[in-house]
Formats: sequence, C-alpha cells, structure tokens
Amino acid sequence: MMNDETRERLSAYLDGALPEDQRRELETRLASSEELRGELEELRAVSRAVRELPKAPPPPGFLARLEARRARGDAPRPDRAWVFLPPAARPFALALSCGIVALWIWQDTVVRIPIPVPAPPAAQLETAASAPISQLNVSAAAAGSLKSSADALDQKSALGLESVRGSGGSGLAAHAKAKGYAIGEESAGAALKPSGTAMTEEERSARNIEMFADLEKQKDKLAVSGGPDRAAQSAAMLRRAGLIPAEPTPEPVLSARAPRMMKKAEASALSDDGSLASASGASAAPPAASAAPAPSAAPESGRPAPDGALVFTEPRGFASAWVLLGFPNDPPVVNFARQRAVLIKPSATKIVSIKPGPDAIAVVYRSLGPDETADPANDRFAPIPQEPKAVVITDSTSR
Amino acid sequence: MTEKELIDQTAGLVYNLALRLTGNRADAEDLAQDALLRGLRALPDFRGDSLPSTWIYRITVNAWKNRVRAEKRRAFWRTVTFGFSSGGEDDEPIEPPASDPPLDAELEKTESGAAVQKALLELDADDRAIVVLREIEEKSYEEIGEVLGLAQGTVKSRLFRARAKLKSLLQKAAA
Repeated sequence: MMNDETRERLSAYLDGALPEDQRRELETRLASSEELRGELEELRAVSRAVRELPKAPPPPGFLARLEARRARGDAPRPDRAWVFLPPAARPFALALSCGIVALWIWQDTVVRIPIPVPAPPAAQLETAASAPISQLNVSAAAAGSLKSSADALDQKSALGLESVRGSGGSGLAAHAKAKGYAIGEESAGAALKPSGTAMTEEERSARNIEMFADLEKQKDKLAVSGGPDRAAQSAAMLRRAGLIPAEPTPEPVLSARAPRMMKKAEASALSDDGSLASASGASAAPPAASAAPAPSAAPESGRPAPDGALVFTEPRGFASAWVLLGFPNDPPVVNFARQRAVLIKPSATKIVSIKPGPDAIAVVYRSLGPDETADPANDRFAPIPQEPKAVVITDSTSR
Repeated sequence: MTEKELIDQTAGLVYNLALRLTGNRADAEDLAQDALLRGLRALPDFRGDSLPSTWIYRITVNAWKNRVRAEKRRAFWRTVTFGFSSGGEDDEPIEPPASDPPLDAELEKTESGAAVQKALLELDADDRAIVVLREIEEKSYEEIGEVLGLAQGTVKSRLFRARAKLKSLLQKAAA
C-alpha cells in the first residue's frame, strides 16, 4: 500500500534529492514492488514530457525593444493596483468618501436646533407671533384663549389702548418710580434671587419690575420687531426667570441658516410650557363671579397696564408664577376647564374690579395706600371666566 | 556584474521561463522585459549572495505571480459588476482564462507538446512556477527554494503535488 509520503519520496528520488538512507530504503522497496515502480515511471514520464517542451530563444528585436524601453524610461508594471477596488468602482468610492467627509463637517459646524413636538398649528403660531409680551398664550389646548388673544389685538385700536411697546416695561418702571419702589443695583440683584422667603413686598415688587424691564431692554437690544421673534425672546426671558420650565438644551442662538426653524422651536416651547390669554387696555367691571354681567367693558379712569398682570389658562405656569411673584402659601385651586387665573404683577396692589364686557373682560387694580395691609392671595389674584374674550388690564392708581 | 553582463547571461533564460509561465510569446516578451528592467534597476543592490540566474528568476516569478493576482482581482470584479467596465488600462487582460488558454501553435508543433503546455497552464501559479523551474530550467531544490522563498522540504512536497496534478491533467487529456 502506497501513501503520500512514499509518493513524495518517489518524486524526490526522481530528482536525486533524497538523503542516502532514504534513497537506499526506497530502492529496496522499488525492487520488490511493481506498483511502486509503475508510480515512479508515471512521474518520470510527466517530468520528461515537460522537459521535452522546446526552449525558444528570445524573438528577433527583443533586446532592441528592451533597450528602447530603457531609453524611454519606462517603469516596470507596478506590482499591485493602488487600491483593491476595480477601476469602474473607484469614482463611486471617491464620491462616497467626499460625501461622508462633507456630512461630518456639516454636522460639526452647523447649530442644531431641537424642535419640540408636537408642533403647534399654524394658527397658534400666528397668534403667538402677534401677541404682546404680557400676552403669552402657551396653552396648546386652549383654543378659546387663542381666539381671545386675536380678539384682544383686534380691539386694541378700537378701544384706543396703548400699544404694548409703549406701555410695557417702561410703563412699569415709571409706575414703580411713582410708587417709590427701588429700582437699582440692589433690586437688580434681587431679581435673580430664588423666589420666596425673606423678601419684603418692596423687594419683590422691585424684582418683578426689574425682570420685566430687563425683558423690554432685551427686546430693544435684539431689535426684535416681528411677532414670532418677540414671542420667542419673551419665552427665553421667562424661561430664565423660571416662569416656564427650562428647555433641556441650552438656549439656542438664532442661526442665519435656520431662522424659521428657530422661531418655530421657540413658539412651540411656549405652547407647551406656559399659558396666557391676553391683556391690554383699561376698564372696570364687577367681578366675574358677579351674576350681573356688565353691558360693556368701557374703559374706566386710570392708565392701561397691559404688563401689569398675567393671565393663565393652565395650572403649571400659574403655579410657577405664583411662587416666583412671591405669593404666600400654595396657589389656590382654579378650574381651568371653566376659568382663567389673573395675577397682578406689581406688589402692594389690589384688584379693584373685574368686569366682563361683550368683547373683553376688564380687570382694574390699584396700588395700596400706606395704611393698607397687603394680602396678595386675595388682592392680586382672581379667577375670571374661561371665555374667548380678551382681558383688559388697567391701573387706576391716582398719580 | 555589469548591466551588459546581466542581459547577456540572463535574457534568454528569463524569456524562456516567461514563455513557459505565460504560455504565449506576446505575454512572455512583456513579462521578460519587465523582469529585466526590474533587474537592471535593482542591480546596484545585488550583493551576489545567490547566482545571478537565481536572482533574476526570482524577480521574474514574482512579477508574474503579481500579474496573475491582479488578473484574478479583475476577473472577480468583472463578475460582480456584471461586466461593467471603465475601459481603462487596468482592464487589459494579462493572462487568458485557464480553461481555454491560447496555445502558441508555432511553439507547440506536436500534439503532445500542446497537451503538456495546456496542462501546465491549468496549474495554479505556485505549482506552475515550481514545475517550470525544476523541469525546464532544471534548478535544484535549493535554487527553487531561493527563487520562491520556500524551504527545501516545502519545495519537495509542493513539487510532488504539482507533478501529481500534472499527471492527472495529462491522463485526463489523453482519455
């Protein structure tokens, strides 16, 4: 029986390459094995057949052509292709590589703006866009309040009310000065204090006024004129003040590459976080709880104070503002399905009247006298009906 | 060794080796000239550790094996790209498919010679190189080991396997 080792030795024996001892052993076996001799002859025949292939000299001109190649400086053919890919695939590979690099650079340089979901409907964006700062309607579900915002805006000119920019923070500042509130470095520092505990009424008032005055400054500094931008900046200020929950990401910076996206992001953030119906103008009326609705919401004596109050249509923003504005204890329970909540912002004030009219609800407040005791939970808060009407805020304090 | 001495002593050997490796005159001349150009370029670094013929054989066999590998890559991509080709220089075939090698009719005048050459071309590159070096160029195991970079024991076993395949191919052709 012949194995591969024996055959391999036969091949080497044919070439005279076996060591002496192995050669003698194999010759002994060859002498006695016809099969082994037959195998050796077959290998020898193969070897002979290859050796008998004719040797051909180089063709005529071979050396001349070699010299010509040398003279031309022809390089030998490269051992390997420059890449494994076939030539047809190389342009696609190059394009793919460029695309990946471009995507990487783009992702690394462009500001990414998170878009809160769900996005508000276009109508809500439009309303928020045109709302004054004190009219931040951030309740996505309150369609009625949206409408009231729009109504309030429509009525501003009809009622002869002061524009928001004209009666906003600057009006508040003047009001504060008239009332002798301190607006200085101390109060500016107090504006950033945590709400609450050991502050006097004056400090709270000064802090609140400073906060909203700063909001106006920011608006002017950014030269924000369009509605959506104003709403966005207001949201940013309120977010810094803690009136609405902070975004999970840093406050975005307006990017020239995606301004519309930024506005939508800010506006939708408003819708998710806070609330407001509308406020502007001046009027006085019986409280909303009164059984006898007023025939109209005609303006009373006093000055329009659209920034003097906040109107809420949902509990979260209401509770946040309650704490921030320094109201004592827990916020009262308001049935937001049927009611809105009004908070007067300046301290040491008192709601004088709430008068529902056919087109608006007039809320009138005044400053407390030096001999009056402050009771913010009763004097500066009032529920009003959840009607699709604007809220007109008036300060009736005599100057 | 000078350049002239290298060409005078090895050009014929290199061409003959290339002819048996490639199986046709055109590719043989291209391969032989390529190998000689490489040899001339590397001559200043040749230290005489081996015979000049062994050294230039190694260059020739390596150049040829690189061509075979490149051709296999191209054949693979021609298959996977369904024949789509850019028509570039890389697409030029170096070696015809082993299943149908074009035999040089002038070279193989006898029927048996053509069959042997065809069987040789059906061996893979390593087997063909080792058979040609041993049977045609009559190199020793030691020299074959130097040319191919193999140990003598490996040369012995590979040569046996190559002969066995060749025998099988020739028997199949005869049947």
